[in-house]
Amino acid sequence: MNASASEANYALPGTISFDEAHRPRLMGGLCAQCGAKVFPKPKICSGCWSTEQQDLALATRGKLYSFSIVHAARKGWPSPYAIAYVDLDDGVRICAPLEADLAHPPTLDITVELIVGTLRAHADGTPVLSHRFKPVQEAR
Amino acid sequence: MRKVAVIGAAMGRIGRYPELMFQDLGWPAIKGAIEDAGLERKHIEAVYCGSAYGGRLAGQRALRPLGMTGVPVVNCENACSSGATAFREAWYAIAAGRYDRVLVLGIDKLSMLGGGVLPGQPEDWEVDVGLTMPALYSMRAKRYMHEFGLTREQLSKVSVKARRHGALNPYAQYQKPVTLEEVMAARLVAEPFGLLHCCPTGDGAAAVVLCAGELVAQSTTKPVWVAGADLTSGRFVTGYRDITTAEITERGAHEIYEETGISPQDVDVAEVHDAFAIAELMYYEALGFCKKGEAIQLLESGATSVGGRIPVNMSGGLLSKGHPVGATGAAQIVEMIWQLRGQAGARQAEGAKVGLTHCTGGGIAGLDHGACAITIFKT
Ligand SMILES: [Zn+2]
Repeated sequence: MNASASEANYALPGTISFDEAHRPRLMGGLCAQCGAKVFPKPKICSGCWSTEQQDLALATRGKLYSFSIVHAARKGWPSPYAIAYVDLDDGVRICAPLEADLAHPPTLDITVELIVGTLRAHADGTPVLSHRFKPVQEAR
Repeated sequence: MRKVAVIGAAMGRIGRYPELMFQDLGWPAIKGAIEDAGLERKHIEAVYCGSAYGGRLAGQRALRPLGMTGVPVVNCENACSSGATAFREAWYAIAAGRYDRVLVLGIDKLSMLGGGVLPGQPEDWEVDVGLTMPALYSMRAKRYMHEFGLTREQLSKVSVKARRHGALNPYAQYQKPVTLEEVMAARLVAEPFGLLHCCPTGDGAAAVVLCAGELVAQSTTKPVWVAGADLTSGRFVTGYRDITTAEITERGAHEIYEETGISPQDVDVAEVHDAFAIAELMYYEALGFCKKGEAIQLLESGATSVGGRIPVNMSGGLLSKGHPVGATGAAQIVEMIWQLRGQAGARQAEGAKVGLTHCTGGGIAGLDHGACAITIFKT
């Protein structure tokens, strides 16, 4: 996997990698001692105190646990936007922007998948990127 | 451990006072609490001050105009629970025999921060991708609605009750009742919440004087006894977590009921941390006032309203009385002292003998909340 070319423009530097097919992966930590999977990768395992933490490409799909459409945003954030908790298939919960039709919001517990997109922009207009999730379009 | 009572209490009306200096927000509450106790400033052996946004030396700054520095001043920051944390430490210091008379101050001036959404926790990765406090609570609400069938209209009844009570409280930031329609139609903040499902930001200060049991007889007021004061922090969970259950509050409640031998059925009146409408419902359940999923039935039955079996947030709660973050725990305690003395005027819970205050908050990724302080008082 290759690290992104411009880490500086990510909201959470070092958390996104791209596989051979240029598909994004969200990177977490795997504890070498107890197997705990955590996002973002910690320096120490909160469970067993092992400092041996390996890079782990997290599951790219999960269930939409909950979300909110934010209208009152902090300064510099375009609103409205949707923010969600996604329960990844490998047991990790991720807080992530949700890309969805805000006029027809999705229902909870649907399957969502990882994408990378623009979160907001710096004052000079440079986009800030982050992981995001969007509903999976199931073939009917 | 020695018995400890609250013998003095005072607060100002919560509101937005941008023109007032921080110290001038604080000293009237301090002076009021000492005078209420029938004491003089020389009797206060130590001061515990809770503030979340007040910056360094919040306690000393509020004490200076009264010439009251020169004693130990302990400044406590624990987000929404700052004032309640200060109270708990003061109670413990007297119970353990270190001091006889201690003052607790809770103070914050949120108008210093400008308006709108409060700044997020620094270095918090959830905040960095767009999480705000209203959004966090609204995700709890959305999941709760999904699992238990709560409707937005039912959720709105929490705000209507809060404003109905707050209209009876001259210390409340908002003293105007609202209708269900007004709550439903208010400007959206973080769906499903509109503006009236969220507490306002405001400025406030509240103070109490605590006294060792042996010296209570010298006081002029009716003492209100501290049955117990619990403080805990949220547990760090990295995987799936049920956000419809207030884990930290449930655990804190269990601890204090165990410690005091008081059960939820014994509680006559409560002030709970209703920063957002869903929170009040979740805390009915976590504090054991009803079973999981049944909070809205408890509210709709009138049990938690003025005149009910267990009136909750007679002050108007955070939704109506206001939420000057670090002051809130102390303001809840002042209200409870007035309730248990029978001095709460139009919003009095008749005959209340056992009261509970509950203060929790502080958004921090992976924890239900940063801190939770629960205190039980009895006459
Ligand atoms: Zn480990």
